[in-house]
Amino acid sequence: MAGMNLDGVGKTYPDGTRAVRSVNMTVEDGEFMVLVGPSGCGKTTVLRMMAGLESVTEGTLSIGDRVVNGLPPRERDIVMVFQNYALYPHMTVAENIGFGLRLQKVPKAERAERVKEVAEMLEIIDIIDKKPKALSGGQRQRVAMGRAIVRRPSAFLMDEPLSNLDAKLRVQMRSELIQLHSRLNVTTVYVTHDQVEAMTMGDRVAVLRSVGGEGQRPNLQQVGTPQELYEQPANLFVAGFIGSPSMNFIETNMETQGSEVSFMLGVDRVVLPAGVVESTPRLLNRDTPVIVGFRPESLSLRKSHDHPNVTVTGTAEVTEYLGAAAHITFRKAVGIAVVSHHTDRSTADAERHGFVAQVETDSMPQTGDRVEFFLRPEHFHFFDPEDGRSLR
Amino acid sequence: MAETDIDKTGHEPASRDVELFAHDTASKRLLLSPTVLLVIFLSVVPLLFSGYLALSRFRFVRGGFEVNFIGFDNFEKLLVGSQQRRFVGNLEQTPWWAWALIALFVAAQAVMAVQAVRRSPGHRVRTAVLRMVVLAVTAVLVYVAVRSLTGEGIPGTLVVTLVFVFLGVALQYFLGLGLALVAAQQLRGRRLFRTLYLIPMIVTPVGAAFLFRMVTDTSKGPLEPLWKLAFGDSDFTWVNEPWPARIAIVLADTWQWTPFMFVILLAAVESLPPELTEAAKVDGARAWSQFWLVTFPQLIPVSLTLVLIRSIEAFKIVDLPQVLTGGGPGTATESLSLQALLEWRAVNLGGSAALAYVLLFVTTFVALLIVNYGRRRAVARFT
Amino acid sequence: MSESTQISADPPKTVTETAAATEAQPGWGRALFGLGRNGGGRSRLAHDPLALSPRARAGAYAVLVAWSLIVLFPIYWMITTSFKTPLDVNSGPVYLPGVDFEGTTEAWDYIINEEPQTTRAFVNTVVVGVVSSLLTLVLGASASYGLSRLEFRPRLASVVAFLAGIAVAVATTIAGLAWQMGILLGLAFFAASIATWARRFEFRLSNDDIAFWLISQRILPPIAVVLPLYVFFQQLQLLDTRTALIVTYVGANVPIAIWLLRDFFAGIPVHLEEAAAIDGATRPQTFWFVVLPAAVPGLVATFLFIMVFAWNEFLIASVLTSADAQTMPMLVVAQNATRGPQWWNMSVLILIMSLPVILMAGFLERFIARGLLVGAVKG
Repeated sequence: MAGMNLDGVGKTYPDGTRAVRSVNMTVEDGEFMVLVGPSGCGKTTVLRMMAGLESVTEGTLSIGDRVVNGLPPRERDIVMVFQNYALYPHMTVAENIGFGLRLQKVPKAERAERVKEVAEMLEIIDIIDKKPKALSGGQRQRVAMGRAIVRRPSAFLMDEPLSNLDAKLRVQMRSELIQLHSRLNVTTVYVTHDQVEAMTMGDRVAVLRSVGGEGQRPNLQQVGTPQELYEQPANLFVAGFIGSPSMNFIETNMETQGSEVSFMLGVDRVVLPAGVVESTPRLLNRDTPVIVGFRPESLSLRKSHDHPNVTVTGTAEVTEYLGAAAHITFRKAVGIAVVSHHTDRSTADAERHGFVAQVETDSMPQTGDRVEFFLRPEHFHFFDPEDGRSLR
Repeated sequence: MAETDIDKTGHEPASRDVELFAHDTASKRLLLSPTVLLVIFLSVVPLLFSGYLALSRFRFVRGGFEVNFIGFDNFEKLLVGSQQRRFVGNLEQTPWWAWALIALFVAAQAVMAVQAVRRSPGHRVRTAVLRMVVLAVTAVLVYVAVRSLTGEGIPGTLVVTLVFVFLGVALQYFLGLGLALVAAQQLRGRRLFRTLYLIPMIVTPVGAAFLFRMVTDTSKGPLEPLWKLAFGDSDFTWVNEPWPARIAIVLADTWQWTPFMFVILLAAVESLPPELTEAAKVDGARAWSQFWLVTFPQLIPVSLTLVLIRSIEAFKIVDLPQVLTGGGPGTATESLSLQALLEWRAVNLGGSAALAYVLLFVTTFVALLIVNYGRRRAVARFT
Repeated sequence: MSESTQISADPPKTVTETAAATEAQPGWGRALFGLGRNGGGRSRLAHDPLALSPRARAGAYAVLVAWSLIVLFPIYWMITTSFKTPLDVNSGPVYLPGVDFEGTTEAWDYIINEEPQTTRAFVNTVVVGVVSSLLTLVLGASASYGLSRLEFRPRLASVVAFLAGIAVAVATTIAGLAWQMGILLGLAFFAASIATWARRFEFRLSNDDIAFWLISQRILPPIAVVLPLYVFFQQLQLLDTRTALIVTYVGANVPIAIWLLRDFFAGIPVHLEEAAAIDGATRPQTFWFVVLPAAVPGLVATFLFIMVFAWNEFLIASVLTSADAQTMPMLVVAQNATRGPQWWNMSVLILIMSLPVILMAGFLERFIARGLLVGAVKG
């Protein structure tokens, strides 16, 4: 059992391409840490550096209290589950699972015992004599897990282990993995591009982003519990990445008159209650623009009677009925949804889609209707358009 | 779901994938240098020496040998001197239509070259020079080939070798392709056929030549009754007539090497994704258009490689003519390699090396033609 | 997890997996339509819309059988001839042993027991063929594996300097210096170049350049290199030895081995080796337990292929050997030249020579196509 510590870890390839810059992060002992981010954000590279499959070109990486920068994988006491499982095609399931033990010179009898134990735990005891070729995707996934578990390592590294499964199986394996982790309680670093996986599985989640064209930007955007990431995104990128549908953004100006702080949301004036202003003092006396964000699910068609409400109006353009909720894409008469370059999404995307609301299905508007949405002012997020940071 | 993550498949796959090993200098040296050194010392160095030999007269003297530099005399002898008739052939009495053929070919090539230069976006000068070299060499080869193969012309070893290569490789490819397409059908026992068909490739070429001599012998061979019927009691034998002798060699070569084409083409056909053919069937394609529009385009890369490999090997042909006909009648079936071997036996090492260099030049030229033009055309047409 | 969901879960493959996937699992179409050899239990029944009509099937068999006859008849003729007496052969064709002639083992007896050269030539062929092929395989495999896994970026200038050094060595040797001096001078030139002008040029070669160069060596006609080799081996007192033949064959065949094996190794997913590294394998263990087993088809096919080349080679052997190291092809040609067409004896010789390889190929047939294809398709 061991935690992991990354101190200024970076990676530059021999050809000069930079993949990772100054990642500072601690994975606690027994923690389930998820690395999440879009393609090219460097999450897999970080994982592979932890595994010892890629060299660490900057900073120090320690597992437990050992610095492992120069150590080959076999001396790190970790295991890794690959995205495509990487099962040895010429070995049976049992041989695949037992290969690591065989290399460790574990006696044959004990080896067989441990393989059997793991196979029973993962319910693959029936297929133990088959070759990988004869297995289904789900079975392969389990064998790959078994190969990791049997080693009793101090940490698991998993590289999108569920991404090759179909949707239904993926959900099932997700909960099995969570159960497995709570049973074994081994430090786990799990890489995924799927934020739902990240939010449901992780004790903590690290959001990563590419180093950018010049390679100047640190990858790590925010580390926190799923709730922290959702409720207090540190910057525009995290705010836009976490949550589905994505957070809506609009650029506007703060106006301070006495103690009253307000801003225009298109044609709607929003006056912030004192509580919000107190918790966000940087909004006061600000004459530069800010980006205001609000999540689709914080909009409602119904006025709340217990809380102050803000009204947002627009014209419904697309309505999508989803059963439990509906998504309404709407446009405002004045003001368009903005996409800051800090979210890594294209502007064209936002202009096409306008704003999105996720609302109750009981009184769904028709396409073309003028709609009034209500939301609670404390659900606004404020960001600095210059550096993308949260103003909270 | 299966998102292609740049992390794994992205911009620099080569350097990324080998990260685990890439910078291990000891392994590098250990793995590659023995081969590189061996090839340098067994190919590059001898080639340099051969180059010198080709420009020299080599003589054994008491207690060793003596090499005198004589410049391009050896090549001169081949092209215009005493060896001209044997190497280039006899270019006499060319009929008018052969001249027309040559003119037509050169004109067509020239037009294509001009178009290619016009179309090429950058590097115009380079393209033009390259095209001109290619045009000149092909024109010379075609000129010699057409004139020596028509009228009273007699092909020399150069043209005979080209005939062996082009005729042989073409026959082998089409036979191999046809057999592969048939054998790829879901038939019982096709593994048996596949194994059987491999046998000729394994028999030594010397043996294959001998086999052919036995089987096609007109007085003692198994087909003797047929020959008797066809020619009566005349003394016809293959080896006494130039063209029958050449064809016998091409056939023996085909017997031996069609399996090579067959085996690889069959594996290629079998590994084609069935979806495309099925889609074509659903679209109502007939067998022919199915083959021509769906199957064949997918086979083009393999085919080009196969033709390339076989051509390279075929240029080296020596054992078949040596055994089957002894190069005769006269020098009618003498290949470049055989001529070089005979020169070597006659202790004319300079002449032998000069022939080897000519062979190397022609082989490289044809190989480059296949690689460049074949691939480009395939790409232009099918992508 | 219920069994049914497991079976339906054959996921689409990511790019990284495709290489492994072609090996490891039937593709979607195959699985769906039951086409592949592993594609489920459905056999091709009469109502299968994709099956051949009876007429087409008959035609296909006719073609295959016809070619089989073309392949087999000469072999059959050779086998029967080897049991004929000179009289049987010379008096015109006889076809069926026991029907129009009586078989005799005279020719076999003569070749094997009374012709001392046969045994020697056969042993030579076996030794030269097997040893040179094994060496070729070891060299070719390590070079191909290296080219598929490591990054080689030699400076073009260094390569040029090295070749220039060789040219210097060759030139000085030709000019009359002792070859040892030539090599020394060449090395000195190379070292001096590396230290001076070669440093200034940054352009580097890639793995593909190296592979292309190695493979392209196959274009060299053996006659172009064998003459100087004859002189070399003469100087080293190695003419007419198996060593000379083995060394030369390794050099001549290593390009084929690299051509065939390069893509084979490239097709073995790197993830497998990474998984082995994670499992705790050292580099040699990874190679031995993971890479080699996965490469077996390619290695077998390559071995067989280059062995056929070495086994049957004629030109190099005819230049480098005269008596002691003579191989079978030489013997066949020599027989032909000295005795005239003694067909019965020649047939025996050729059979003795070819049977071992034919049997071997028969046993290893399943590897051949697969092994050759990978190299050939991408080559």
